[in-house]
Amino acid sequence: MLEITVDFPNFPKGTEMDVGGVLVKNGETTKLDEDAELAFVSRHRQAVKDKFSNSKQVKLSGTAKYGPSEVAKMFPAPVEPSEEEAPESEDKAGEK
Amino acid sequence: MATTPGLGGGGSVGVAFETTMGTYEAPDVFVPILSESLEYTEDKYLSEQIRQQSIHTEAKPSYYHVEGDIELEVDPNNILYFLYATRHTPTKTGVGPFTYKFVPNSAGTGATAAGPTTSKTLSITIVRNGEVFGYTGCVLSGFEFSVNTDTGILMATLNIMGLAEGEEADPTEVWIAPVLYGADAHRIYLDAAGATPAFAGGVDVNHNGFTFGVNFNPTAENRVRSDRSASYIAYHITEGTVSADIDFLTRDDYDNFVSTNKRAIRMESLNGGATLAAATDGVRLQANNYFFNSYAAPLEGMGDLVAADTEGRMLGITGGDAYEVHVKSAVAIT
Repeated sequence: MLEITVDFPNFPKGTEMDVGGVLVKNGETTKLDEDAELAFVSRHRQAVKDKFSNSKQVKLSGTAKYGPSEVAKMFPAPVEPSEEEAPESEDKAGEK
Repeated sequence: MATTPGLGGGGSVGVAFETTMGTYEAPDVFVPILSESLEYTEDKYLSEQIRQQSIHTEAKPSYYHVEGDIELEVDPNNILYFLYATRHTPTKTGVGPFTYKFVPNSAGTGATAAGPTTSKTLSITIVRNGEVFGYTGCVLSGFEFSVNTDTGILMATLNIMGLAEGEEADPTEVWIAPVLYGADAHRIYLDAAGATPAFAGGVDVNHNGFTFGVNFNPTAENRVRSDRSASYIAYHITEGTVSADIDFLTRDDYDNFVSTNKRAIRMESLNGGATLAAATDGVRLQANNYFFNSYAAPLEGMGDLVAADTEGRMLGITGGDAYEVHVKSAVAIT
């Protein structure tokens, strides 16, 4: 299970904050069970730890159910459509 | 990286105070906006070599800076960050909520330093369809607060000018509930000009909208060094304006315009109280000494109200400040 802790020193403790769709109060920790983690991953198409890796104010602890490899399998990159080959010409006028 | 086109609504804007002007800081707060137009601004050099042809022969990158506007609904939780990045001297009082007061100063350039009584520069992070743009060394080149009687919402247009732009790490957006000032939040007061006008005459109810604007007339200054980004933002003459359509009832304001009489005006937008002191949060915009620079109250049509289209210009005042911007907020700038 993951735990999200939020610390914005300029905002009053207890201020409700939307952290990627998860409600966390400033200065407090919120648990993210597997269902909530799956909802987060589906919304962001990104593992929770990857989403928060650059944050000064949001800290993550615990063990994730869905890591980067699992997320990549859930949301594979779209396949670029291939160009159709032009059909052979049926003009046989040039044939002898 | 996005693989499909995206909407503006999927983007984000975050701001942070810089410790060193021009050095990127990841966002301290995310700001809900209505639109933004920050862009890399450069006049590339085009060579006009004479070589028996009549088309430019080479293009070289030149000096650049960043410039653009942010439009937003004024929210006491985040407008403070922008007001700190202006040509103002800030003060902070109270124990929470706090009252911040910004008055004009004569600084020649943007600068940044820690603490609630010093102006700062901003790093502004903008995510556009998944791509991250980090604008550094940003200050407000001007701003305009306005209320119109269509929506009644206190809005702001923030004119931004900064030193440089670079690609930065994907931020983690965190949002809090918005706090807006709606149609029932605003009060306008009038008085004679003074260093500390009392505004004891009661609320004025004849203004069809209100706009409070300040322009610091800045320039992005380049210096000879091995870097194309601007060296600093220079401020020049500050111009303050107060504009409104006012119901024409008497010749008083018209006579003030003709005589260049000096007046004072205050608009407060408050939540939770009828005065800034009693409110839970609020914004006060106050011009202590202004004159009507233009005033026109024509008969526009048989069915049209007789109204005065006015613009006022702010002036300095002995023993006081030309204008004041107050913000009452629970946010603690430290």
